This record gives sequence, C-alpha cells and structure tokens, in this order.
Amino acid sequence: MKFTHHPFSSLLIAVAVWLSLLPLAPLIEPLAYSIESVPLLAAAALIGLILARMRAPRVLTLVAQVIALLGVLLWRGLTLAGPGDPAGSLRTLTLDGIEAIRSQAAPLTATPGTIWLCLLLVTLLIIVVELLVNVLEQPGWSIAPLSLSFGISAVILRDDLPLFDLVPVIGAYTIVLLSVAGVGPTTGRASRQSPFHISRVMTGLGLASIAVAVSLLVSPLVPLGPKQPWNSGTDGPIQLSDPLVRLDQDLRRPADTPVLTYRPSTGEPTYLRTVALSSVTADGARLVPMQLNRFGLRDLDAPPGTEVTVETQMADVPSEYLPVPFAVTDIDAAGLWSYDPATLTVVAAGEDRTEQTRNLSYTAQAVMPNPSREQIEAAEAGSGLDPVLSEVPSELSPEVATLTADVVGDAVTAGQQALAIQSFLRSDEFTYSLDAPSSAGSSVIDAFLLSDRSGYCIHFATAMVTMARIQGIPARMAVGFTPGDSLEDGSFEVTSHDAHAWPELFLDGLGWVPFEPTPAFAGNPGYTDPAAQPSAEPSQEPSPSVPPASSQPTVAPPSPTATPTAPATSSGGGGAGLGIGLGIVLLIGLAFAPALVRLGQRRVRLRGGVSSAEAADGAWNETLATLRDHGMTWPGGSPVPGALALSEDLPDEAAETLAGIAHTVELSRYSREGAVTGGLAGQVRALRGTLWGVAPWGRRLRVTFVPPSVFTRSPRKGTHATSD
Amino acid sequence: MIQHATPSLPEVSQLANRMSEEMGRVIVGKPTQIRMAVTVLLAEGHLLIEDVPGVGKTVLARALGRVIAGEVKRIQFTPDLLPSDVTGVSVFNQSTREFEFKQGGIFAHIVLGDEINRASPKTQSALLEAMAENQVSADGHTYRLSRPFMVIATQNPIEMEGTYPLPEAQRDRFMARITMGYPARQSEVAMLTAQAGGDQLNTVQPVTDAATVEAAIKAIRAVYVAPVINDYIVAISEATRTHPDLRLGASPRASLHLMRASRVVAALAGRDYVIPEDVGSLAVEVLAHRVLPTVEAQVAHREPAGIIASIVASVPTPARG
Repeated sequence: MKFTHHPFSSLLIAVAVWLSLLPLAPLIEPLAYSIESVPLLAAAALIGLILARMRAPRVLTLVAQVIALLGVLLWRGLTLAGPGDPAGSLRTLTLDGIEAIRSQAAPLTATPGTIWLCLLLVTLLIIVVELLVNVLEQPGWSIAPLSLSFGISAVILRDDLPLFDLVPVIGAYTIVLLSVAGVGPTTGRASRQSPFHISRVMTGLGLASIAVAVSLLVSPLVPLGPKQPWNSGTDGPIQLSDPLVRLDQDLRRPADTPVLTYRPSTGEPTYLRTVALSSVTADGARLVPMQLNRFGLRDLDAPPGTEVTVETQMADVPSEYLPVPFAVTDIDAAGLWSYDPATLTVVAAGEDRTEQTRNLSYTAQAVMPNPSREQIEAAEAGSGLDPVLSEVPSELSPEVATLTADVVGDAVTAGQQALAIQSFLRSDEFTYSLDAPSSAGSSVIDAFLLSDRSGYCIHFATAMVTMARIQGIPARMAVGFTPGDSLEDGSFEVTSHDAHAWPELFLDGLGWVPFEPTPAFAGNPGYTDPAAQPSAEPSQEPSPSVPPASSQPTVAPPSPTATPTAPATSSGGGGAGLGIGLGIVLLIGLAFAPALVRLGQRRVRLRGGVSSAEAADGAWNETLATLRDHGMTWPGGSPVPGALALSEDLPDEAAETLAGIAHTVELSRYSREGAVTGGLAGQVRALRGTLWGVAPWGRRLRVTFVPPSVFTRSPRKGTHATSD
Repeated sequence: MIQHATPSLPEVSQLANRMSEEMGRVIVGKPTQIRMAVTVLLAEGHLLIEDVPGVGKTVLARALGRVIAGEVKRIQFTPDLLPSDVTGVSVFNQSTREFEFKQGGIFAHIVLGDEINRASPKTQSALLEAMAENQVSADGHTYRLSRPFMVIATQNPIEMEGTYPLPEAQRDRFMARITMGYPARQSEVAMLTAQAGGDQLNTVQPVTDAATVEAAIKAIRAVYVAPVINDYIVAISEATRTHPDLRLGASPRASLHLMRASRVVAALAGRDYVIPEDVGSLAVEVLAHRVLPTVEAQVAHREPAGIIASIVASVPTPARG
C-alpha cells in the first residue's frame, strides 16, 4: 500500500500553527512563542517534508515527527532550565511557568518557565494538527487546535482582544484546508508549476480577505451584550474591570446618587469593601488575577474580630463586585457568586455578571478585625504572602524612602510604624483635594508625598501602602465605600460620593488590618480621625472582643467602588460585548469557510488559460468533488469505466454529461493525441447544475455549507497520481 | 474477406468478434476463454490451458486454427518425445546427397502442445525456446516459423500422475494461462446433442486467413500506451514482487506481456489507446501462472489468482504521470 502525501503538507501545517499562535500576543511577550517555537516547527516540517518525499507511511511520519519534537523540546527545556537533574529541572520549569501565569498580569514576560509552557503548547498543536490532517485525514477538524490560542486569548481578554486577531486563525485554517482538499490532489508535479502554485496562494489570500471582510461587516450587526458564553462558569479566569476607574468617576461626578442602604447588626457604621488591589507598582494599584471559588467561603480561617451581619439593599446600580464588610465569612445573595480567598473579594459569576447587583438585596456576615491599639503596636509584620504584596513600586524617588524613615522615626514594631505613617498622612501637612491627578503612579506619589501634599483617597492609600512596603510590611489597597449617612430607621445610606480607597496592612497575628490615612473626607464620619481616637487607626477598637464598639475606621472599608465599577464594565462593555461578537463572527466565519474554500477550488480547477492536460485534470477533480458533494461514491478506476458504473445512479442527463466529461479526460490522459478541453469547464458546470436541480433541500444545504469534498480527501484510488 | 492492407481498429475489432462467434458454435458456454485465446493470438503470445482432461482444451485450439484458416499441428507430449520431434531433424537424402531438414511439429500457425507436462523437461525446453524466438536452428541453419505463430499448450493439473510440472522459467514464456472449467449443465447437454450429428469441429468455417490476422497484429502494435500506463503496469508487477504472500513475483517479461495483451484489449474495444482497466482486466490471466505463493499462503488456500486480483485493486489507478 503506497501513501501519497501532499508534498508540502507538513511545511504548510507548521506555517499554520505559527500563524495560529499570533493571538497570544496580548498574553505573553512575543519572544516566548514566535521565535522560540521556530525550532519545533522547523523540525516537524523538515521531517514531514523528507518523509513525504520518501513516501513513508503517514503514521510513521507522525511518529518520527513526535520523536523529533520531543527531542527539540527536551533540548530546549534543559537549556532553559540550566544544569541539574533533568527531570527535576523540567518539573521546576513547569511549576515556574504555572506560577508566572497565576501571579502575573498579562502580558507575561518571557521567562524560562513561560517559554517552556509555550513550547509545550506548540508541540501539542503540531502533533494534533498533523494527526488530524495527515493521519486521520480530517483536515476540517484542525480548526479546533488552530483556534486554541485565539480561544485562550478570547477567554482571558474578552475586552481587549482585537478583532484583527481572527485573521491569522482564519488564515491558518485556510492554509490547512487548501493544502489537502485544495487544488492539488492531481499531481505534485503539476502543482509545482508556478502559475498553478501562485493561483493557489492567491485563492488562499482571497478567501482569508473575504472571511475577514465578512467578519467586519457582520460584527456591528450582532447584538453585543455582556453575556458571554465563557463567563457562565466561575472557576475560569474572569476579566475584571478596574475598580479605581469607577472610584474616580464616582468621586468626581457632580450628582451624588444613592448606591445602597445597609443595616448592620451592630448598629455601627461599617465600611463596605468591594475589592482589594494587591499590586501597587509604578503605574498605580492594580488587580492581580484572582483564584475564584464558589464554595468554601465559610470554612476559611478568619482572624479574630467582631462578628457582624449586614443586610444590604442595592440601588439600581450594576456591578460585578459585591460590597461586603471585611472580612466576609458568608453571603446570602441571589445569583451565582464566587470569591477570591486571598482578598475576600466577592465577584459575580452569573450570566449577567456585570449587572448582577442591580436592585439586589442580600445579607453578608463578616468578622471585622478590630484590634486594640496595644495589639497593633505590639504586632510585627506578617509574612508568608505573595511577594507582590511586598513589592515597593519602582521608579520611586529615593527621597520617599528617606521621608518614610523620618516618619517612622524610632518606631520599633511594624504596628508602631504603621500608626506613625497613618498619623503622618492624616496630619495637617496634607490636604484633601479631588483636583489631584487621578493616577497614582510613582511620579504622582512622589509629588504627593514630597511636594504637593494634596490628593484624595487613592493617593493617601497608595502612599500608605508604598511607605508600609518600604518598611517591609505587606500591604494592599482596598476599594469600597465609607459607611455613609445614618438614616432614621437605623440603617445607613451610601452614595456614589462615598466611594473610597484605603490601605490594608498585614500584621502578624492580626491578619489584614485596615487603616485610614485619608483625613476628613466629605461625608466621612469622624471616627476615622486618629486624633479623636488615639488608639484607633483604622480599625482598632480598644477591646477586640467588644462587638459594638467598633466598626470604625478599621473595618469600614469596602463600598460602592464596585458599583461604579460596573458602569466601567459596561462602558468597556462594548468591549465585553465584543467578546461574544468575536465568538459569533468566528462561528460565521467557520460556517462560510468550507463554502468559500469550495468556491475557490472550483474557480481554480475550472479556470482557463492552462494547458489541456491541466484543464482536464482540474475538470476531473472538480467532477469528482461535485459527485462526492452530492453523495455519490466514486467507484474507482479511470474516468470512462467509473462513469459507466455510476451512470445507473444518476439522472439520464447527468449521466450523459458525465460520460462526455469522462471521455474527454480519458483522451487527455491516455491517448496519444490528447484532447480538446475547451468545453470541459462548461460540461462540469452543467453536471453540477443538473445534480443541484434534482437534489433535495437538505442535500443542497449540505452541498453549500458542508461540502463533503472539502472535509474528506478524495479517495486515493482513481484520483491520485502515482506522481513521481 | 481478405485484406492485406493494415486494417483499421474497428475492423480488427469486428474480425475478432467474428472469430469468437465462429468458435463459440463448437465451444459452448465459454466466451471468456475464447476471447482470451483470440486476444493472445493477436498479442503474439502463447496460451497455456490448464485443466483436467476432457473439458475441451484441444477443441479450443483446433477451432482457433480453423477460423483463421491456418495450419494446425498437434504434438502429443509423452515422456519419450524427443526434442527433434518438436523442432525437426536433418536427414540425409540419398537421392540429392544432401541433408534435408524435416520440419517438426512446431512448423504451423497454431501448434497444440497437448499435455505438455508429460514430456521430459528437455523436450519441453525445446518447444519453449522455439516459442520465444519464433525460429528453429538446426545444423547451422535457421528456419523461421510461420506467421502468425501461436502455441497453445495444455497442461493437466500438476497433482495428476505422470507429469513433469513446467518450471517457472518456462511458464513465464506463456502470455496467459486460462482454465476451461466444466461446462454448465445446459452447455454440456447441448454439446452432447450437437455431437450426435458428427464431429462439430469440422463445421467450423474459416472467417479469415493467416495474412489478415498478421495484418491485424500489425495494426494492434500501433495502439498507444501512455507512459503513465506503463508505469501502472510496472507498479502492478512490482507489487507482486513485494507481496507477503508471494515468494516469486512477476518478471519483466510478464510486464511486457501484460502491456501487449492490454493493447489488444484496447483495440478490441475500439480504442487506439490503453486505459488502466484494459490492464486490470487481464492481470490475473497474464500474471497468476508466473508467481509462486508462499507456503503460508498455500496452507491458507490463498490462490495466486486471488492475490493478483487484490494487488490490482490496491495499486492506485494512474491519472497522469
């Protein structure tokens, strides 16, 4: 049994796989996949080309490719990992890569670990595509591996993934389809002749452009909404909107709109927190990827504090974050919710996740930390956390460190240092002003601490987080709402102007303790003022155990920031909708791709201006494809006997046309004089028309959208040349 | 109808049809075998008929000789037959005082070698060499054989007693091997009825003559065999050499015979070019007697004919080289 390979199949597959990686660009530095993948792709292509040339069985070719790929992979992995026990270092490399994905925000830097993971992905893609195309002969399914990278990007970056990233995927798919079902099953030799070859490339490019154009045209017509198919599950990565953007908008918006009312079981005003930003860098505070869980919230170990139950009624405000007291231990709210164990952020997980808080009524239980001043003064900095929480922002002026040292003075413990920093920021040297720049990057903090000394909650919170980290205390920024105004019935009303940000510091034995460095804040109760309560910085009550005492400064944090966030989400929500738009466009592109490929094949096969032999071969391939599309199984053999055998199953007119085509092709192939092929294309079209005319509707749909000839190789017998 | 100019292919086709029809009058129910005999004649080959005695092997040969109005000689191969009985011998003529060549049985248009596997190998090879070279050399003289020239050798199955099986090298010289097979019941009854009125063979009328057949053979040589078809033929031959069930595959001579026979099939179908199906339709008859199955294949009753058929089915039909 001899196998005939498309001569360039493996090379085209390598190109296609490489193209399909391009949508990873927003996720990881291009170096990690675009250049590093080349040795793997080259190895697979080279082996494929050589073995195809030698007519090796395809399974053998695939095995050789897998061995070569694993060899290259092993070599690159070991060079990436450096000297050491090979198995152990590869394992470390893998864990490094996974850790990088978990801890870093996109785009990932090209570390050995991430490169290694990319190489694993590329290897897998090559093997799967080769298997599908050359061994299983199911090139149609190669869309699955080829769109994997796009899918990963689409899931992670649903807002930010450019539509343009579909182009390489469609291009890759088109290449694979054309390489197998393409014009080429005639003979390798013919296809290598330049006009033929160029026209095939042109067809591919044309099809890709058509697909993209269709995508662009269709996308505005698709109703875009925040619903995204990949958001129904909570455990997957979710793109969260930037809470600070909403915070800013809320604070600066002239109209003060109600966000929620809440009734705490303690009767004390309470900070409601929406989210905590663990990453504070030169660019300001940012979310880090969350590990969202749906279950197990109440089983988490809670640090000591005051138990409180808060019943909350949201206004008609959309958000994906639920405002809850810190540290929340249980929630009872309609819809699906998940939480991040590290920050205790509660995130919507339902279908309408960005709208999930609208008019929501819910109950949250929390244990609010309320250490006494003595406890805080005695506390050392906690440890054992993600390093990102201790990272001092880069590009900070060295004078900030000097200033911090001055401020801390002779404070010994981390708690004393934190209180000193808080007092400093609340002192008269700073003024509260919404006129400050909205950014909280390093330069702004420099200016805030060293010269302007004017800003609002974000700057105070960022400054305290920064100074605490300089002192080695892990710190993060909480975003939410100040407690708001007391109403007559004992509940509190929180408005958009109550949006707030404050620092949380991690102290040994106390856990995360909220502080309040922002001085008088419009609508902010006086309990945040340390002057009034010497012991209480943010949260500490004198007696931790006394529930009523304190919800004050400390615990109050989270609030409506989340609410504001929601609008942010929906404004980016056009972008969010883009996700589903992309999905639909992808589907539509896929739906039309086989039809377009088929159309392209037909045009190329029946084109004029070629030698009589090529015209006959093209026409015959098109005839076979047409018959296959219409459910006929070619009985094998050369044209005339085959056509004769098939004629019983065909309408008379079609049988006659087929016999004519077969005779011409037979003359062209086997006779001394060749054949006049001028009328052949017309005959093939006539045959197609006749078959179409008698086909039932279902068959017509199938012929148009899933033409079998595109998805299966033409049977070898009877159509493949023995080529060289 | 006598014509010596090169006939057109349709005329060749008609001629073959007339010959087949005429032979069919006495050989009832065996159109394939008749067709094969005519094909081999027109392809300048020799035919091996292998079957049990009494199924009409000889009748087929004689009928063929009669329809072309050619000379038919019959050589009954026996263990004591000498090579010179086949080729001829030079004897001293007392009156002319010269050696005269007395032609052996092989000097005829159609030579029927009956039960060829009963002769000694030496005698067999004398016949086969004459077949291959179309001439006989004796005492420094070369004597050309008649044109057309065709040996129809019959052979009893080798399991039968008193036989010397033909060596592979000699089987290879036959273009095709056919078996007659027992006639269908009705055909046998019809045969008995017909024989009641005397020897039917005498009623076979010539429909042409040797010269016309020779002209037809010449016409058939002009049938075009595309390079891709030659490639296909060789691919089939190659496949027999690598097939796991065969310990001896087809020789290059087999490829040549297959190509010549295919040309006849194409011509009889009215085509002046060969298509792959022409080749495939003959492959079993042309190749099966030349290959040797392995012991395992024999034990498993995988017959050469079946193996060849499966090879033909598996070699891709050529489209264009």
